Amino acid sequence: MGTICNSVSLLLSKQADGELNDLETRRLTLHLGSCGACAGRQAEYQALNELLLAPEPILAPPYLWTRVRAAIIRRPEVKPGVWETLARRLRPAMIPLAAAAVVALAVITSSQLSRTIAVNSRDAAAKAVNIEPEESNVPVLIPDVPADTAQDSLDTH
Amino acid sequence: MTGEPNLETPGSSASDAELIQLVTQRDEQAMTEVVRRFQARVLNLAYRYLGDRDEAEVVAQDTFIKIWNRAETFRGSAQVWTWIYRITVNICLTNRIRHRIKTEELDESVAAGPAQQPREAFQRREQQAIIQRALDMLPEDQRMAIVLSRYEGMSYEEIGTVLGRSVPAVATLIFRAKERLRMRLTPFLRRGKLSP
Repeated sequence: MGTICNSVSLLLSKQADGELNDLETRRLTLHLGSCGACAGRQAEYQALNELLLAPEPILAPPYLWTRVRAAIIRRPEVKPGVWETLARRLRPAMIPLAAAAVVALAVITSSQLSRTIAVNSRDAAAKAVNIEPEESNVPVLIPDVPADTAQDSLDTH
Repeated sequence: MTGEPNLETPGSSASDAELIQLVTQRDEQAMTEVVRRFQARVLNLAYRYLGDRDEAEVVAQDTFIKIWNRAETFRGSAQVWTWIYRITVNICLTNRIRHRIKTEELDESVAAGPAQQPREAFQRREQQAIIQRALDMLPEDQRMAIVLSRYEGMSYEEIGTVLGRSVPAVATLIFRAKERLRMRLTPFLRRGKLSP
């Protein structure tokens, strides 16, 4: 089906529901006169509409009102407060928000850690080639531990 | 509230909007009349969407409880029944109560075979099950639009009011739903399993 036929399909759908305006009806009639594919699609939509018949209606049970009344009496005035309303509205977003917060924290922590390691590595490299390390504004999260003390710590563990 | 109201006989002659106004003042007789007037429509809308009677009754119950609790949110510019329908639709969609064909029951009845049922009734049930399965596969908003259009006989404008969408948006929803249904049901039509 071409581009024109694709746009006509929507008109066919509306036609089956009796929702076309005069201009749309004229446009559709003109197109169907020369397009067998759309004429076939028209028949399919009509058949589909005929298939979609409402199920037999059911009768309301006599206890429906009794149950409603009981619920109303049980909680006569159920008007949520502002915070409850806000919490209810935010609840669906809590999990993704919490997940995003965890991810953000992990990224920030990882970033800080990487910087610290990079700074320490740079300092170590600088010392190795007797170059004074640059002043860094990155806070050091891992406190400096003298090498020998650190090694002792590792040995005991 | 005293005694069991007789919901079978006509009650108040007040208009729907007047009844809702009285409900905001906690008039229980008015609420009884609201239930009497709308319970069939609410119940059947829920039933046609969910396909399950028990679930439809729960939705209907919740709808009327919400009407009692939120009557003041009715804006007189809209018709009462579209406002009530909107509440019902929102409960169905929000709760994401999905209709599941009771396949065990259906399989049993189908397995019983036409010998144990009138052939016509058997074929009708089988056909309805196939159609319901196809409807079940639609996205919720498309399924609701189809139910309101085909089962409730509502216009696109009325559907738009209930769903809070524009008329063109409703037309697109229904078109997409029909396209999915057509793709799904055409093989059955060709095999002769379904017949309008």
